[in-house]
Amino acid sequence: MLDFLVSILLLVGSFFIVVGAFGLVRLPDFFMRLHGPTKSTTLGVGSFLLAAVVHAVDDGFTLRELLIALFLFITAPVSAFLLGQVGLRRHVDSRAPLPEDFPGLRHEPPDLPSRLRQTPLPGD
Amino acid sequence: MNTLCPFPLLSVTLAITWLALEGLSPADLVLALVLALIIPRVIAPLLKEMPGIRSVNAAARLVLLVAWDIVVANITVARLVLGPISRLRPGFVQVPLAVTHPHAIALFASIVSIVPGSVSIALTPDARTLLLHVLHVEDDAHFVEMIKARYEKPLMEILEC
Amino acid sequence: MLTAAVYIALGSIALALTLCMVRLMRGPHPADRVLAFDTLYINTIALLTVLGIYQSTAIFFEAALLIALTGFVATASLARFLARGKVME
Repeated sequence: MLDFLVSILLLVGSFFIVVGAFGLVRLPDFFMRLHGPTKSTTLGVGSFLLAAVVHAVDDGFTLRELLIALFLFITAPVSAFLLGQVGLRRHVDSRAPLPEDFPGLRHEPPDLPSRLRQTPLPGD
Repeated sequence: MNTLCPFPLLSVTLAITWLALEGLSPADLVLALVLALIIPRVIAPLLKEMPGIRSVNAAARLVLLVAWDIVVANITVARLVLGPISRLRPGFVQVPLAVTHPHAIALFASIVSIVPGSVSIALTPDARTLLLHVLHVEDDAHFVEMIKARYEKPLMEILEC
Repeated sequence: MLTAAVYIALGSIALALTLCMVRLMRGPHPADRVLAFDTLYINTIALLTVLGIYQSTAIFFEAALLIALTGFVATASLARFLARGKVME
């Protein structure tokens, strides 16, 4: 019975992990691709870690896997936010029109070292 | 009590985390106690204006709601990603914030990001408006109303701010 | 049945890692590569978790925790560098 539950969780996780990575390749612009990883983190890795917890119930219950899941759930929005900032500040191509009137975005960051201001970043 | 352990909730969480990681041997119990007393004091400057939790019940309900929404939204987004891309209508949406406390804003932005389909991307310098990127949005105003009612309202009820 | 599910999971993770590598190599913007790297380390955590289930051991857990910690710090600092030109203020 437990094995059955673990198997189901593994299959669900597999599906969403593949969908997340597939979205990363398939979606046309950076901001849309940003949605891929949060997806595979939440339900994909989440159900894998839940499967590990269920699997470990036999030999002593541990919460260790849930700690990783909690950590990923806290950090995923932060890295998505920081990557989104890169997209906005470096004017990455976007299918959705960038908000022109949003304050604090339409200027280069003032503390950018001159070395970087002169040479464009690789791939820019 | 207050000077020895200024943030009881944080101390308890730290101790439980350490014990979950390392096991229940006597040495670990001592170490967990030491960590639970020292770490809150070290990071106290960051925590000074931590809002209190008004209702544990409402907080638990919000956690369950978010967990449920993650499952539902994941299925929706999976269908969007696998379906025809040309039909997607991505957009930037500006959400006027009613919450003012920094921790509450961070929590709201994180919840919006962790639920698939929308990612919070920027905050105005005056912390009044949050910018989201939404994978597929048909009616901006309706979407803003929905997430404000769904996540922001319970947050304001839970946190004292 | 569990063994079959584990093999399917390992296959899916391999596929996901390959897709991340495609994005990592194709770019086009550095931000895309950082995003691919972010997904790559999350998938590695998934891989270690599944291997831990398969071999019924908790040893992989330590590695998964370390990857989670370092992966986040790496993504955050790379993103900050790309956005601002420096990591620390």
